[in-house]
Amino acid sequence: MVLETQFPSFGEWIQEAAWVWTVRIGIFCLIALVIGFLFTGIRMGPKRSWAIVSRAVKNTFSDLIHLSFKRIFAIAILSFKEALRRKILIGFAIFIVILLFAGMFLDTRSPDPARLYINFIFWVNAALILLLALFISAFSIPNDFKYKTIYTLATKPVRAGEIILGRILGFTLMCSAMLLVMGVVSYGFVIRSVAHTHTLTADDLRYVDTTKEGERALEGKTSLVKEHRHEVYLPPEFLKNPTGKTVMTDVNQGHSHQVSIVGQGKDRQYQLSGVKNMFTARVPVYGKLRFRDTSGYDTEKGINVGDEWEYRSFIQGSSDAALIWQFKDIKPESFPDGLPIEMTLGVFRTHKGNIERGVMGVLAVRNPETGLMVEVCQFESVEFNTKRILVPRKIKPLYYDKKGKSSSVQVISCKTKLPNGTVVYDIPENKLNPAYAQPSASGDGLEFDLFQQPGSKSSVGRSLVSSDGRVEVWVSCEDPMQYFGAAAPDLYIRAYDEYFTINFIKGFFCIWLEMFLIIVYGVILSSFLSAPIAILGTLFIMVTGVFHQYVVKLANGMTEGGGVLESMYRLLRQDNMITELPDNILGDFIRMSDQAINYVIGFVGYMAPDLSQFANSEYVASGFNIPWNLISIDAMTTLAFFIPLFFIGYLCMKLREIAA
Amino acid sequence: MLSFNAQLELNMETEVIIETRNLTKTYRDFWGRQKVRALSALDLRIYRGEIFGLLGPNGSGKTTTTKLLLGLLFPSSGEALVFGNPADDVAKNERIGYLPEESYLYKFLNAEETLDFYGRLFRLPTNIRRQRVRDLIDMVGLGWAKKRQLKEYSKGMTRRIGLAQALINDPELIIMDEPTTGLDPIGCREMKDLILDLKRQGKTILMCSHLLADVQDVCDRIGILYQGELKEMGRVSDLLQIRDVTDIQTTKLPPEAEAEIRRVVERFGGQVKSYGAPSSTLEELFLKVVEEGKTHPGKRYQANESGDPNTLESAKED
Repeated sequence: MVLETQFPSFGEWIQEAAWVWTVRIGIFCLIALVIGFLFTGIRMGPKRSWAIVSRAVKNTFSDLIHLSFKRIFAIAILSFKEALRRKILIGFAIFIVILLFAGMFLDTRSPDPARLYINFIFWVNAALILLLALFISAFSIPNDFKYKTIYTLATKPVRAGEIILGRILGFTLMCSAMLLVMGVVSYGFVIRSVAHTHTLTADDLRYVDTTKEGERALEGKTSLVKEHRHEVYLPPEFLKNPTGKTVMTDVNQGHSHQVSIVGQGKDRQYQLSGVKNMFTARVPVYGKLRFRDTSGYDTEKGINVGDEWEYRSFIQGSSDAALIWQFKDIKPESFPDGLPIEMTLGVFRTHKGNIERGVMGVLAVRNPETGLMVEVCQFESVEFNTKRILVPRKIKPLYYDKKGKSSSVQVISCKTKLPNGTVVYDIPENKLNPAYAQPSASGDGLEFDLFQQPGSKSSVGRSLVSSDGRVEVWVSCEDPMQYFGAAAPDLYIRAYDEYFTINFIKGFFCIWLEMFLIIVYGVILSSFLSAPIAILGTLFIMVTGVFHQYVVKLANGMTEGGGVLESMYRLLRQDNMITELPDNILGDFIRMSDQAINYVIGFVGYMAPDLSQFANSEYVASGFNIPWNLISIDAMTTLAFFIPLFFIGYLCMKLREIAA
Repeated sequence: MLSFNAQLELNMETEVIIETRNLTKTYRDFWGRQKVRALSALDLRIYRGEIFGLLGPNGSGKTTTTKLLLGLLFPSSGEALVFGNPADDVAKNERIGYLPEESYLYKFLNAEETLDFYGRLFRLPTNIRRQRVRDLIDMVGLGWAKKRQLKEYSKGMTRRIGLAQALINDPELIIMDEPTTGLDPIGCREMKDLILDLKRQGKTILMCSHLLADVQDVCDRIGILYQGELKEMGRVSDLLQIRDVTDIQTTKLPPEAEAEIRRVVERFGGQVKSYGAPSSTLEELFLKVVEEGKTHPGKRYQANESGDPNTLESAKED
């Protein structure tokens, strides 16, 4: 899964975000007060203006303190009924129709059907519920004004804030109920759509010899179901005593099945379970990636092999170059059996080589405290094919020489060249202890433990995880003139698996947050705009939110080809993006205008939330757990937008002449 | 020393419920240019327990005044005070009931839901709210249609439920804008009876209307607005009294009494302007016919001996 930006921990994020938020809200309030004072001052003079603004501030506080939940709830129930009786359930009917016909368009031969179905279902749910939220929220208050029901409402002891909150709460309840039902149906749809089993009969299997002693295993293929079969291998030890045991088929279309044997002799039957390992929620532990160049120096980036997208950096094969991930907080109680590593490498071939096989690589583990590094395994890598490697708790080196020593064990330090030419080592060379790579005096031979044994003197210096829980995973390419590429998230330690159902709910919660923000925007904009304009405004916010990162880049003048006018100028003249603007009045005018436009774009960009950060369905589809960290950041972002938006809505309703 | 009731009556007459001081409203266009001055320097006081009628032709500023008092509009200058507080103070609405010119209600709710919703806005306890909803639906005679959505209601039914919502909080002050609009004569009469009943309960009522008969029937005091200015104000009885005419009504007299009466009037220097049976109002006639229709369901209109009832002449005679 591609993770272009690494998100910080919630603690780090909230410290910075809370400060930025407070400053911005403070500036916003100050500007509102100054505008209010100037506006009334021009009409009524400074003294009266001061009295009016002071009274307004006092009334605002009074209104906010006296907000009544009973009234808010009453308006919420009204909004709920309004949405219900205005046939909002048509949206649900559309959803069901889409699901009914979805099977016709979703390709069951997909290499990863779960991903396909989950992506589809999240897309449909998000699109439907956001459109629904947009329409019901933007019409409510304008309709109150259009049909003058607001007269009856506003002449009751209802505060402006209660109308706003009541509307938001009502529509949120309505849409939440719909999303809940749609979510349950979607979950059932995904599970049922991919659920299947195969049959396996004696005719499908044939005996193969496995050992010189004549022990025989069975192998074969299952029946064809949903456009695929699984290869089955039943080893001799399983066949000898199959009672209560199972073996797994191969992985095809992202899943496998358990095979068990029931009965004996002629009554023997092979039974296959339902799909296994298809719906996962892996909890990865990510490390920090750095690169080692061909000269053996550590760098932040590797080689660019010509990709415009600089997400992955590459290392050259058959050289000192390596991809190095450093992990921290690795504890024996979390990984008692070893480190389950999963990696998806980019492979760049400069020549075909042996096209039948992948590019060879070596995975090693190094202790950053002692410099001890042990090669764990060789592997064959195909472009973007996920490899699962378990770094066992006890590691035996790959190669031994005649004296029982190993060339795949070494004690090394890493070096970095600073810009001024100075070379810095992570472990000074005089502190490296080559004895750590020697066979153990205690008779352990050349076997290393990931973790230091508590109380065991012999394991000191022979563990691969440092005393403070750090460990490095090195990946290097063995084939000359071939390259491995990676970004930080491409290799991780699979700590454990969360429940898929909980992950699915988390994904829907992120849709719910988006939906809530759209409802808030719809209600707030409709408090001072007509319904069609409020819909357009909310749509504009949605689009800006989805392309938020691009908008911010545009506002900061970081897009190639310049700003709005400059791009238009280039289009008209058919200039390419790197041609300089003319150095005359026209060029100056375009540059200055673009700068002014960028300020406006920047302001709009800050008014819209970054909706792309809520689109976390890719986690669910890719089988990764959505971190609580990310959920918390999304929830706080929603709250951070909701508070000032509510305040704007309150002021708009309060200052609006209802019967004008 | 005044008795308790007398003291209460005195308080009711002197406590100001609504006060406007130099209240002015000018409507402006988007650019701030003056479009129309709807109300000009209105000074008004309405006391507790009275029924005050605002009269005036269409566009005279009656509805603007009520909207300013309710805080639905902001004054261009001057002040509007209700219960001594500025009109834009939301808390005053706890003690106010408002019946707008048309009943602006949520059409997707039924009668019960409507009253329950407005009752919730006043934070009435559940049992009191339910009781009040039942009572008001009975009062406006909509018990048979309480489960029907308001979009299925006739105009008269909508007015009735509108009235019920205005009374949901048992308000001290009721502001009614054209309360009899859309009602049939029976509904009008019931509405007027209800207004008088509310007055007996000590409520203060401000109603604005251009139907003079309605105002005359129920109001203690009236103000006449014309082109946004208050042209006349006072007690209805004082304003309507014709001081240079004496009106005597007796039971039916024989024809020979007329000469005798004329002689007596002339002896005192007067002049008899008209003599004969007084005519009733059309409203009174209508109510009488409907009442008789209820008591004698089989009775029908029959043409008299003079001929075809559909001719203009016979209709006039009838």
